[in-house]
Amino acid sequence: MAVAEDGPIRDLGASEIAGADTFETSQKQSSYEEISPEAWEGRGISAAELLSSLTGVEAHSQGGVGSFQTISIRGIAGQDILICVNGVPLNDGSGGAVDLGRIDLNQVEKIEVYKDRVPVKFGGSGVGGAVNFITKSAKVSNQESSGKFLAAYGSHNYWETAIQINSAITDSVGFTAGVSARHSDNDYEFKSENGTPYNKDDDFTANRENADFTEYSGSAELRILHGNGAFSTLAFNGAYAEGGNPGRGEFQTKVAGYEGENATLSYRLESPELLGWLWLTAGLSGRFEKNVSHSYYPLDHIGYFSTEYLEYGAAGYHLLPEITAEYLGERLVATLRIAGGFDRMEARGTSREWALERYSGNAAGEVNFHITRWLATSGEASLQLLQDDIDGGKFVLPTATQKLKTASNRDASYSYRGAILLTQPAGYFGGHISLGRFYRQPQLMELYGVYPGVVSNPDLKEETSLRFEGGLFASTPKKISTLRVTYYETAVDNGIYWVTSGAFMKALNVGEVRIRGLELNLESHPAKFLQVLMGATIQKALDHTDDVAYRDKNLPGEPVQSYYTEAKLQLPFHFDFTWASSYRTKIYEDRGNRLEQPAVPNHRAALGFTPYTQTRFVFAVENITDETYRNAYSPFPMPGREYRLTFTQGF
Amino acid sequence: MKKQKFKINMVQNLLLLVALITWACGDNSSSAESPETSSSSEMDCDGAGCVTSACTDRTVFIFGTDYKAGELRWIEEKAEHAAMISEDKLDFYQDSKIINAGGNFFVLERAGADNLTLLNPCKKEVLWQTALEDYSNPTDVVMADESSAWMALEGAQNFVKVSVADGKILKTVKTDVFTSKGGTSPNLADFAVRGDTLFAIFQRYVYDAATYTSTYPKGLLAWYDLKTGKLLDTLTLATKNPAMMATTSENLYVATQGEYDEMWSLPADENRGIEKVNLAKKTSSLFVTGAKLGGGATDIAVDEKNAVAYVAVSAGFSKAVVSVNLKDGSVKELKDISGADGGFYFDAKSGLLYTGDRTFSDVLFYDGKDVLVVEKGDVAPLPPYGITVSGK
Repeated sequence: MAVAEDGPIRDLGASEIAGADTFETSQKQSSYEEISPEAWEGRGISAAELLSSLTGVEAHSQGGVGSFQTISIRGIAGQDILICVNGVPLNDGSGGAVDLGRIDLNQVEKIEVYKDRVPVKFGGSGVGGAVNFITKSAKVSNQESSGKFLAAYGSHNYWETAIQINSAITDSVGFTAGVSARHSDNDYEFKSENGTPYNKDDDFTANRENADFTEYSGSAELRILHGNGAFSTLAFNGAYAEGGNPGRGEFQTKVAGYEGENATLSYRLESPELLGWLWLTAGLSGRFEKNVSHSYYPLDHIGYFSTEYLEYGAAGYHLLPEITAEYLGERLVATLRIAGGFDRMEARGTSREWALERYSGNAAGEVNFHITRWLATSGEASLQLLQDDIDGGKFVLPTATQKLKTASNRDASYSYRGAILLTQPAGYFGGHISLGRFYRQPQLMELYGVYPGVVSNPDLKEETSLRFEGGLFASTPKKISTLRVTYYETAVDNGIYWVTSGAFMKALNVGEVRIRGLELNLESHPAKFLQVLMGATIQKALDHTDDVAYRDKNLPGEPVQSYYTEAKLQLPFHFDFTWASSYRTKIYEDRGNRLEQPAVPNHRAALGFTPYTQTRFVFAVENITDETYRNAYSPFPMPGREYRLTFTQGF
Repeated sequence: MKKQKFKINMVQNLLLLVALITWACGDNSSSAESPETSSSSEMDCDGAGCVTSACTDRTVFIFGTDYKAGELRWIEEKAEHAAMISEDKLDFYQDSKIINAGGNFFVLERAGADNLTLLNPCKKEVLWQTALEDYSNPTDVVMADESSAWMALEGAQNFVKVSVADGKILKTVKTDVFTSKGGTSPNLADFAVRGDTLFAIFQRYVYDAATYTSTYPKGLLAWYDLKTGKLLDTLTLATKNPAMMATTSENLYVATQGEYDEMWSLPADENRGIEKVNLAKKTSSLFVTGAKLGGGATDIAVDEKNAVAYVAVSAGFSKAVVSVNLKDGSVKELKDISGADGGFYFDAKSGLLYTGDRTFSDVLFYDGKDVLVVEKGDVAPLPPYGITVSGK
């Protein structure tokens, strides 16, 4: 909700050493949540694992540091969730979910999670909510230079190092930059049934091979206060990663791997107050990413049936111009955003050349009006137009019945949402309801698949979702404890699934989904030295398709119940201790609910020591009970218990 | 010819149902037995060798998959319905073939799992399961003798003889000389047996990563001594991409798919079809062309008694099943069967042709006159992918 998230997001100060010595309750609604660095620094958890500590969010991982990781939010899978860095979408045209395993949290200052919608500032497109990673920002008013150094070492030869520098170049120019590197051999031990669940005699234990991961990333931001009161911000972030592709547990690879690189450069100009009521922001962002895999079939037995060393992948270029106008009145807050977009994807590696382009235009607006001190309403809407270009039809894999010459024209897409908020002025209790319609246009690869075995489907329709949410919150006197309860219901129509038939894959609008759920959150700090978080999600996320094999089955990866609890203790002698436990009921990996993963608990703990204000050590243990669950037909073994020691020094 | 649900519709289908139930009950039983009450079916290593010969039930098994998960179900007799798909199931890898070889019921888990499993079809229990060479991709099993079987491996440069008693490999026959230059294996697609001869067809394709297509030389037929695996001779087929074989007492027929065109379709032309092999003259020629069939031939089964071959035809996404008169090569489309992408099996004993329809997750059977659909009841099986009948 805009009311809950108001305030500029770009004027955050530079990162401080995490580990506050007092606690405060924070957010009143579970549909929008913020996560700050103290939740992850030194604890050795990935972005997906971190997000899954929120109610309604499930993490999905292929195992190991840097492995492919996604989340689902309130039953909606990763490909329908908009993932942004500083408001620039990472979702490329591949039709899949964004890989959260490649996000280095060392570069991140704050994470915004929108479970109920895609906000206007991101264009309103996406049926399953949005996550925005905000990188560390320069601060103009800070007269002192500062910085932070981090080094960590852990199981499986995990190492990580990062340095962040913040500097006030002049009174009106601030600068921050950070670089980091992380690596893991990911050679964890796993048990395998050898793919023969009916034969226990050939089960074995082995170490994961060819699973190493190394990443280098960096970010920089220059923020300038102009003489007329306007701000300019020039920001860059980029990363390079490489690693092995270990393949299935039973059949480990030797050569297969990947390289990925991305870079985003953006400029933003924020006006001073105009006409006494108007703020304007204009921005232009450019993003490049390239991901190339390689394999050698005779040794790896993955990829394509060839005796040659093969490389295959894609590069993407994205341009996002936008302008935003904001009105901040006493009772009325309004935002209008106009944005364009250009996306181009083209072949990399040894595969045949192809190129796909998309031009888009988006208009979105939002109005929040405080009717009384207790009552507020909000409304938002967006409209998007798209035009695709398939590079003159030079190469698009045909269906059996048509060969594409031009891209299909796409209808305009729209979203809308209305909400009513009731909040006691002192903030002790309140509630809200909202109803919205959202959409996701098919990605380029879903429409015009260009890889072997992927068949194009230019007639794909947009996915749509209708989402209802109602919530209540109440706080005890002095706000020591806050209870939040949220009911949500989502209907997704024309869900896009990759359907396999023999050797072919084709994206089809076959998904009909009905999800109902309840989130319960209790946040309490009964003593100055203690904070407790408890969360529970109980949901029915069911496939509602007409296909009898799937109808009324649980959606893949979605448990009926999941629980999370965390306790943070401030201890004597500058120690602090965090314990977190989670539990989810069984899940299925497939739409037919045949591939079951059992219910699993996860416990993690972190002991922190801050001998000096700027110096901190954290020893963390992940997966304390060493859970290594997996299904015999599941190709990705999970790591067991892991340890990590992190040292942080501020300056 | 009519297509209808297989609830008991006595007037129209009485004879067919009686035939089915009688056949389903086995040679000497009065009714189909449930898994719990089936007759003894442990491995029998005496008498007829190490086979599951003690299990005489003839049950229709259906392997279903959505290419994510795989399951084996079977057709059961129920009080209110003549035949229904079972509620019980056994889980297997998503890409598996089921084959009855001499009364031994094998499950071949294909590339990515690469296992061989022997099942007790009466108890619906796994007798043994063994892992094969990685990505060897088993495609067929035929009996070599009473206690061992030859297994075709599409992804390996060999095929192997395995013990029926425990799945252990007894012999390996190299096929690397048949691999095309640039190929990873000779792509052994199917076995057939006639007398003391083992026939094997090789697709020998080469994948071109630059164009995402495979190029095929003409298919290769090789034949071996059934007992020893000694190579006896080879023959280059008339067309490309052979898929399956069928034998009669006099002839060997090969169904060929031919090459895919740029639309990834198998056009109805003269470059594919049904080849008839003349072993005496060492020649092979198209007996029925793809033009007459309507596309490439992906499977074939022969009803020798009626001199008819049933052929599964694919023209890309368009699929059909036709019958071919083996005397004159005339073709007749079975219009109530919309392809056999979900399984294709002819049971010579009952004279029934079973096909699977993946679009509607239906299992159909055809008696030469009518097409009927097996009831699913409340069961929601995965779409069918393979069908076979157990027993001898």
